[in-house]
Amino acid sequence: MWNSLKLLLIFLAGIAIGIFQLIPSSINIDKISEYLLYLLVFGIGITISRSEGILKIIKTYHLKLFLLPLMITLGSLVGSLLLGLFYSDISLKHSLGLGAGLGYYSLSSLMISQYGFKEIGAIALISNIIREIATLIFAPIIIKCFGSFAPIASAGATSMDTTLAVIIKYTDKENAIISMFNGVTLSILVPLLITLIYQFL
Amino acid sequence: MIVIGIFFLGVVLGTICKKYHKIFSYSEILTTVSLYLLLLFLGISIGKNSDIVNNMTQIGLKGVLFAGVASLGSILFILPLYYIFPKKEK
Repeated sequence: MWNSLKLLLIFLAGIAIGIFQLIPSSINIDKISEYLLYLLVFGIGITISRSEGILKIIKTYHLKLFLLPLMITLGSLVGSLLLGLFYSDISLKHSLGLGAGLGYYSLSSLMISQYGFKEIGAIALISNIIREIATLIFAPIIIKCFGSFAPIASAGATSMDTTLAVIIKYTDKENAIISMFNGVTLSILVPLLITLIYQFL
Repeated sequence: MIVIGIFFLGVVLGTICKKYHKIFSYSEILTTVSLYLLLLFLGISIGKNSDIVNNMTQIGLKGVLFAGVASLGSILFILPLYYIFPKKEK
């Protein structure tokens, strides 16, 4: 949790710098951000390739294991879409974009901002960070009410790293393997979904 | 689109160079540094935009609500899976 709060603090520090104009306007932040984003996804790609044994897990648990990330994704998209209907200033595309973050706050918010939607990017950052923090805090209650898959669902993509700790703690090891598999699958899905949504909708 | 291409380039490179463990500590540093900078810059470009700054409470509220519906949607959608996956209730 400390890690996500740290990221939130950096973001807030940035806002303060922006408000007080502490950075010369000659620096083209958007251009630098574009290249930084490339570096980031490159690094993420390498890191993801490390999660070994994914194929082994699929073999043991059968292909129906994919149903979990699939349903989690659909649930997020449908939930966000429904809420978006109540906002006249959030279009269908942005509702889907916010749902497609799947808890992957850094990548989803930065990608959406890169498409030129800074405000939606900020909402994506906050909402996806909350998914992680809420899962960390409420995991025991969530499990009690909705079963052992539920914290994996609420966590989304972070179910392979940051929230994995509480998922292991409050459920079991087998669930942890499912959780990791889910996190990796969703982490790959997030950039694909957001590209799809913002490129074609 | 470029983002997806570069992402999979990373995956391929990581898979090929799996034996060189150092590559993963490098990628760790790379992602951490670029993530911090990107979030800082996202903050800066939002801070410079007075429309967004004046809307900050609205943005925060929307963030909370979207987090709620997305998590709840995901949780509700996985409930049928308990019938498909082998039960191991304690």
